[in-house]
Amino acid sequence: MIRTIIKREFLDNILSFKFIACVLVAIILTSVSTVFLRSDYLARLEDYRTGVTLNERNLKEVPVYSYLAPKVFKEPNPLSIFVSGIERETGTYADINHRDIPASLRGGLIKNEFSHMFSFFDMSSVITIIFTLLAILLSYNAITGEKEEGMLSLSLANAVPRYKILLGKYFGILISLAVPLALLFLMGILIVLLSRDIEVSASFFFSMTLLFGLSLLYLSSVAFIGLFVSARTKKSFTSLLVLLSVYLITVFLLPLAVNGYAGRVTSLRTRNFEANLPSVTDAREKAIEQSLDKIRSPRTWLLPFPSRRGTMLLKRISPPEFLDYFKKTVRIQEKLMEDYAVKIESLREIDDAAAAAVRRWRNIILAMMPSTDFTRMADLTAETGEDNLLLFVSKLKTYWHSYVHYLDEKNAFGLKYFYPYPEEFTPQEKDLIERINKDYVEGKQLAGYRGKYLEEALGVNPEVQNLDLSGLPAFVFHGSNITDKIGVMLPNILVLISYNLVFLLLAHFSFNRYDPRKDA
Amino acid sequence: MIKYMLKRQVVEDILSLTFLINFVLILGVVLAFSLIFLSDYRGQLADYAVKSAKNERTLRHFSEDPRNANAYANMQLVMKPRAERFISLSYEDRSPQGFYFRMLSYELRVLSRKEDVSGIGWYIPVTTREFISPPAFFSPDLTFIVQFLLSFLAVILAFNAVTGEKEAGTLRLIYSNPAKRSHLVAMKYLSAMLTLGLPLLLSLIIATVMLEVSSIVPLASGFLYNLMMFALLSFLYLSVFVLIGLFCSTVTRTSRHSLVLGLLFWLFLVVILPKSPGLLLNLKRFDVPTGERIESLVEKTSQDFQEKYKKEAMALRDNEEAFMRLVNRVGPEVDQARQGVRDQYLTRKIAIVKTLRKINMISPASLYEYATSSVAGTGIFHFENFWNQARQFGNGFISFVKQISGDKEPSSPFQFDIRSITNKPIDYNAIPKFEEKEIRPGERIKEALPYVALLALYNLFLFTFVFYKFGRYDVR
Amino acid sequence: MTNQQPILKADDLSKRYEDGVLAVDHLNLNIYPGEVYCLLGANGAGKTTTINLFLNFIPPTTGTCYVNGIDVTKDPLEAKKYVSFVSENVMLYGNFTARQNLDFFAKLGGKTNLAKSDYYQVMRRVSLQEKAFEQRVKNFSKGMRQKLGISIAVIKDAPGILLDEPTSGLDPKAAEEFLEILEELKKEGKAILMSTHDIFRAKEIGDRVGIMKEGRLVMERTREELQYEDLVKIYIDYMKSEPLKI
Repeated sequence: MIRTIIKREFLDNILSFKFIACVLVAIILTSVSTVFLRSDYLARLEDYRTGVTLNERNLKEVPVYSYLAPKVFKEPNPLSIFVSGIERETGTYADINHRDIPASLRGGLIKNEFSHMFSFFDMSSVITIIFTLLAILLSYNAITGEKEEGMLSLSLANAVPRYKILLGKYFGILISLAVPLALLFLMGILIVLLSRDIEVSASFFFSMTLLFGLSLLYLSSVAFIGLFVSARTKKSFTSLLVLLSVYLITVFLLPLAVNGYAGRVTSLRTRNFEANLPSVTDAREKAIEQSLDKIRSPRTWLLPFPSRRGTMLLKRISPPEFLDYFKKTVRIQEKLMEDYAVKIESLREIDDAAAAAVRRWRNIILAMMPSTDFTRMADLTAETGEDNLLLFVSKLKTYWHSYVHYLDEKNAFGLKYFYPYPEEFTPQEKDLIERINKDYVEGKQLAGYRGKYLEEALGVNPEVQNLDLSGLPAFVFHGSNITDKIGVMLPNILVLISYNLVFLLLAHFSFNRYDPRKDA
Repeated sequence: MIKYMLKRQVVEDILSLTFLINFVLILGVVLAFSLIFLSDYRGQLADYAVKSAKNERTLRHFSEDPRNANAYANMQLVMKPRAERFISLSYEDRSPQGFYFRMLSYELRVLSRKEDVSGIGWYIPVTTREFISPPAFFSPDLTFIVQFLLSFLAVILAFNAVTGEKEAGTLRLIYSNPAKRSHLVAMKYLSAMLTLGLPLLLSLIIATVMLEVSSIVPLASGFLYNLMMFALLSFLYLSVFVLIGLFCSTVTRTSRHSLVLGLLFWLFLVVILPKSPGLLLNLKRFDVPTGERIESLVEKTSQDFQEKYKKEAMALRDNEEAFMRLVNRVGPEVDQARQGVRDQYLTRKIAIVKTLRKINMISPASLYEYATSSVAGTGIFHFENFWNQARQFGNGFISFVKQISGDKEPSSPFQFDIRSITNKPIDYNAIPKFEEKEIRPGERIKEALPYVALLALYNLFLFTFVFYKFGRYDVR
Repeated sequence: MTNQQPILKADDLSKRYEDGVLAVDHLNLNIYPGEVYCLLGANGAGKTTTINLFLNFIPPTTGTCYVNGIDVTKDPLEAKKYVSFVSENVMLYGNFTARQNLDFFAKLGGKTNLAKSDYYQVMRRVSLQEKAFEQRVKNFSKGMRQKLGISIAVIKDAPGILLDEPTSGLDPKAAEEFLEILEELKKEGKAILMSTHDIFRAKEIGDRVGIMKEGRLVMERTREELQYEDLVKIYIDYMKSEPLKI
């Protein structure tokens, strides 16, 4: 019996104008956006690969630890083609530097600061905007429409229990939504598979399947809500008006308001860092100054010179006390920088905690409405949302500690921090240094001689060896697997399931009491 | 005849639940938004005051000891948050706020939303302590409320103008009398506009009173004038959607079809169309380098100059005086070239935005948005104007200091030879200060003109179409 | 009429709506197999409400309806197996053809194993044009829709048939064809309750005619009795007379 009803409902739906129009719009929007986002993804992938390669090449050519500036890259996710999240908005790499614990990502594809005026569609927003509307259009007059046209009386004049009619309508709507949705997903997967430049793993398919399932769960809740409202109203128009208002509010207005408000609150509560940073950096400067005070600095004869190599050479051919001085000061300075990096980080953590608190209640509020709940789950599945970014940054911080540990092990703040040359001097150089030292000790103003000595030193051209960075810890960031994702999303999934159950029951009870007479 | 029809229509509408719901909804949303705006605006003004105070301090230090004050300090020239943001925010809160002006140089760097200040360079990061909001579909302001909500209500009010009467059987009844066809449509149109317009005007008045009373928002007479223009533009815009509703009513046979068609039109024109060009930003045509890349290009310009003058510099390396004279001669060239690179890319970015806006002009929702933004003097229009003012200020500042220092060297840029700045204190009151001037009304209207013209065209076209279609409508 | 049990029985049936209107006032009806009972009355007299009560669309205030001996409020699903319903001016599913509509309602009515030929046979029987069998219902005229409506009732083959103003708005020829089918169904032994305004047709087809006024059955005559009285005159007299309530 139910099968008969389902079949009829389904056929009736797919032949209707509203279905055809909405599905057409959905297909066009999804295909256009998928194509664009795909090329966007490829560009980011290219960026990523170039960055990684360049970084590795740079690492091979590092002569001194002060040049060591490893970069850590965030790999773009092919799922971002379908759920763009904030991946396009955020940076793609971080500089690792012992002076500052990384707290953010640099780079990124959104280069035009004015681009915030333009947003765009991706498959997940097609689902929340177009498919939700379709679900509403299919369900708003499921009951009121049949009543108004007299068919409800006709159907109920038979030995068919009301719940079967209701379930028949529900499944009819669900299947009418599932078929085009599956089409879109398949189309999307096909576009990705046909791109030779994109490699996908099994987890990609699992995630897409999960996304499909979640979309259906979400749309199912919309269908039940629509059926409930239809079973509670007497006129189709009223039902539609109520559902459309709910749609406008929950899909457009409420997220805007909640996100906007949360953004403002966050910016108000995270002023601690900016306010207190100057005092910490001042303290850092003072500490460095004080420590350096204790060390006697040699008479200056070294003026800044444009090229780094020139400066390095001047250090090499300087009187010995210069080299000593540099050795001591560099160690103290960089060590202090490292310590203060941790202090600055603890300042950040205060603001981070405040931002995290705001984020938490924002997520709770948004989880209470099906459409925003679904959006959040889509972001979590595709790993293109906030949570993924925050996870990456926290892994970065952990990595920083292992990097700094590595530097300590290698005694990076010693001579090798700034001095790329072998410690042994050639006879030529020894001679040069003796002459310089003689002039220096005699108290001559060496400024005028600098150029002359430098030319000689340049002529000697000591060998530079690159560092052995084989022990440098590697940064590894894996995405989560499917079970982990589902685990994280469990509360959100439960919310959607509850919506389904609650509105199923409400629709059932309302329909049981529904007066099917045409003129009632 | 018209009189009776109009009276009936108006009475019917006012008595209907729809009118009441409209009224309550519009009033409620506008007033709620006003409250939110007020609470937010206070914070914005406070931020602005902090930055202004900082600028003032920088200038004072400079006036006391021009040569040794931190002449490499930056002034932050930011756009003042005007009350007109209430009418049209136009993403000003997400777009660059102004510029870093490096005093005594030609350097004007775009000041972006937030910068990481831990001391390792500048860039646009997204940090954990910032709220990472998803790309906004809309910017919260009065324009959005009208553009989004009221247009929707307009369609709802007008969609069953014709089909509803037909289904109630009254259409045939009316036309069995000597009533002109066009009159029915005109009546429906007028009554829909009334149902939307009354609550809108009322809520604008109440909102203005609220803003005034709160004394947070300084309301000049200019604001009221802008608000009036906004109301007019809103009517023009809503008229389009009422006509679209009527249009749907005349091309379908049942109310149901009419409503679905109207909804789809609304969705397409208000949500889909304006938001689609965002994808185009990926095209190579609209590609711009990252902020870092631009800065590295700026550095490269310096390096190019170094290469160019390297021989000369090497030759003079033992002669301090001559060396500095060379630097002073070349300096301004370098500085201006560097800023030129930045300017070039900023112009390009703005041009890209304008091109995308042009594409959006198919949608009446976008036309309306741009029109109100122009009239209110916000958004990218505001930014461009501000940029001009900032640059003029920067140049003026340099001229002033040069003049007061008795311009020794030919156009010395100071940043290279600090000794060319006077070391006598300058009168603080004589120093040029940066005061942002509001864009003149004439200019704002000129900017809005093309959008308004297109909206009017839309109206005209829809009017004729609806009248034509209804003239041939099958009333059975 | 034999000593059979009535298929459709209303026992002291009353219905008062929430707004206080007494739509049906202590109605007693017994309709036996093989008879057509026409319920006449003005608009608002209670005819449609009576039918709605039989179908359990609304609960009675007092009294009971029985279909084939089953109390419709106690076991509605069972009762509905034994009754067919023809509504006034039903739109049916416009995007489907006549046969598809018939197929759907046949299955709802419990007849799940019918073939296309069975449907065609029934539609032919109700004089629906051949070419309309596979046409979309949304383009049907009123008469065609009514015929399809009766074919839905026919195919269910239930012992009781309820018709609510079936000939309203039909042209004379279509109305005649409709009544011919009813006559056939009556001969097959169906118990038929038909509410109508159409005095003339009621006189033709009705084995018994009842006049309802303000919810009460004020008069009931058999066909034989009517031969000697002018139904029209009786009907109009009753309509013209003072309202029953004070």
